[in-house]
Amino acid sequence: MRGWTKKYLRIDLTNKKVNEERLEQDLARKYIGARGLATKFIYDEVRADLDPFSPANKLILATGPLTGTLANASGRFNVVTKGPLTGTIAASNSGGYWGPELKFAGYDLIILEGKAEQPVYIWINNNQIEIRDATHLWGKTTDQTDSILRAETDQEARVLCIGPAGENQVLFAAVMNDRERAAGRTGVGAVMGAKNLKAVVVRGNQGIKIAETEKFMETAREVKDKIKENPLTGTGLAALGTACLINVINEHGNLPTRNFRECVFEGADKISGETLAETLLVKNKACYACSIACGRVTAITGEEQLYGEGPEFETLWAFGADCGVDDLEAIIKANLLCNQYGLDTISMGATIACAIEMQEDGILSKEETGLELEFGNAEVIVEATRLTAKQEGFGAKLAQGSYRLAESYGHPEYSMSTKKQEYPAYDPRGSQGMGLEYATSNRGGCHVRGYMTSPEVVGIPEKLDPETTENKAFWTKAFQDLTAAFDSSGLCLFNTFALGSDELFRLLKYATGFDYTEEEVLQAGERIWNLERLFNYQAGITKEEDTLNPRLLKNPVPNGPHAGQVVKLAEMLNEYYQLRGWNEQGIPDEEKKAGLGL
Amino acid sequence: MKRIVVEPEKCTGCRDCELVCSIKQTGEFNPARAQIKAVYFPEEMVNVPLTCLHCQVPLCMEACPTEAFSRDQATDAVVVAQDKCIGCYMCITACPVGAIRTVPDQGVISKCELCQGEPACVEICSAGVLSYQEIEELSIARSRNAAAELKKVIKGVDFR
Repeated sequence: MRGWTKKYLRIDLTNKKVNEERLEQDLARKYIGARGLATKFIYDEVRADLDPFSPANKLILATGPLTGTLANASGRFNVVTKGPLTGTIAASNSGGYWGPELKFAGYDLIILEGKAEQPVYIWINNNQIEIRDATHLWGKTTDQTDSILRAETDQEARVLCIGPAGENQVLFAAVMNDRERAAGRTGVGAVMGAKNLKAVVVRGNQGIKIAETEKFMETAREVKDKIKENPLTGTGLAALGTACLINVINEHGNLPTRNFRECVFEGADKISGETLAETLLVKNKACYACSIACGRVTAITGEEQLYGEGPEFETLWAFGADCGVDDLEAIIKANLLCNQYGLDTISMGATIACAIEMQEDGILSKEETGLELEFGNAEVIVEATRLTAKQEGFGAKLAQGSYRLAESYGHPEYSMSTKKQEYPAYDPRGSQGMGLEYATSNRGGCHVRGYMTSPEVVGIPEKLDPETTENKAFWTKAFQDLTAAFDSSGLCLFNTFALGSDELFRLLKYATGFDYTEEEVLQAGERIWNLERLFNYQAGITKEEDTLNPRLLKNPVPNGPHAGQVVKLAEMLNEYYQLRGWNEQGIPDEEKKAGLGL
Repeated sequence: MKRIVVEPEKCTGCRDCELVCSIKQTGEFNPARAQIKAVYFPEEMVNVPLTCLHCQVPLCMEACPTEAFSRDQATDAVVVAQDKCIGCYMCITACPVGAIRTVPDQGVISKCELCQGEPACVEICSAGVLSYQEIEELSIARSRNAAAELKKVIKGVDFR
């Protein structure tokens, strides 16, 4: 078994005990790695119905067999736990350099258990592992924490940490690494905060061995060529970053505007990738081993000087179109605050949008919130973000996410979410498959479990009619299973614009030495999907929650290319369950489980 | 004679150079043992790739007590004969850019030898940071980058 270091760490924070354990070959093969493998550990070791903030919950930081290799964009690792925002399995993934560094230190994953009595951080210098006091870091932002910890340990070390939002258990707090990369969604940072764990610092100088080096290198180079030649990965994402999508999605009438009241944003061009590139962009930035380099370094000069990474497409949308804001500098400010406090930009922006609509409709009042919550108010997105991270004033309500906020006023319909997680930047009324994906995603409202925008809007791997429900169940399932396999390998999902399961299985096969086939890798993806589903079922989440906000099901799109459309979810859902082979409860039965080796 | 030209301002920090170098040198992906290192400054988000400069007066060669270093006739690279190396690491102390690596468990050093004139790091670099060019082109490449900044301000003459 190559590609893997074959060792992992189990760290008990309650008793300050560190154990090194051997990774079982069969388990690694069956669950590929990262998201899949860590989910298997959580499924076996964590009661699905427990309180996510209980010390009995576990937090796993997991790489895959391709993490840290030349396979394109191999900087990925997953943070997996029972999530506080959704109550589902939470797997959130991030790029940067931290994941590869963990493997160079000699470990595939870290299982974090219990709860430290006082704030601590973990320092992993190859096989020297210390649990150190972090009292002096509590309250520090992620960039401050990164600088202090590198000075305290090693300038070459990589830092993963939480910011004040994670410490304060904001339900959508992120785990941040390498200062500006985020395991953003599902509130994994709040679980880390509940464990009193501020940071995990890693330095390693050991090698990753490959089973068939020559064939692996040949495939890795073939993949790099395909990434270069593909118009989206080689040109669009490279030139404008993910922000290249603002104008594209808006022109297609899929850009949710003012909390999904509309789907076309009149101010889109002001917050587009093109405008960003012309005005505030400093340079492009890559994650580990990535030829796409979609990261953006931006700067604001003048009275208040800001320098940082982002904003990404999702952030431009959440603080921009969704809040009706077309002020790029304000969005950049809010984005940097999210990075420094450790917040998910999607849930933050969407929760503010929800609060704005509630205040405009008179459910909230200015007296109560203390905020000028109005669509288009650029200042309020920055101020609300600050208050949320610190749980100050109305920020304490926002920190619960849009669902709990809206529900506490008796109006859950204002929360644009599924399973309590806010939707991202694609209005599914003009993209039926995306509607099915939001409804069935194992971590609530999410685009990166099965990115149906790719065929329905971008036309990759082929153009599908976005308004029809025909075959969308088939496509959604296929995308969800492939995504689970990619996420578990340690590679970035953006590879899938140019690659498919053929390249993935070859990379995995040559790296690990397992005689993987394309079918086996895709079946592993399906196995992972089903395991996540079973965990959620045991957590009490039933198929009744495979639904969408009523606005998407009943209120037709008012304007743009998809005017008049709603999501015809019922037309797709039963077909989806049938294709999945699930029973009337919407879960795999014994036969299906046996077929998948579950 | 050719050298590896580095234009750090173009570097995205993907570190592919370290990966291909290390697998070629050691058979493993191990940036710590690569002969090129993209030094990263996280606060500024700046990467500066550094490798052997193959100096005209190589301090490693001067410091070596066993005359293990020589100059390759074909590529002009400063190369090391590992059978002569006694593992004193004087060269590591002498080298001003940290281009010399120890070889674990073997008590010798290794360094960039320009891959016999086909440097793998240059071949993989997708951001155009690394190129393999005649020495004279070194300064011209730097001039072009500096001029590109000026170009943004000057924008050309209005001929109307």
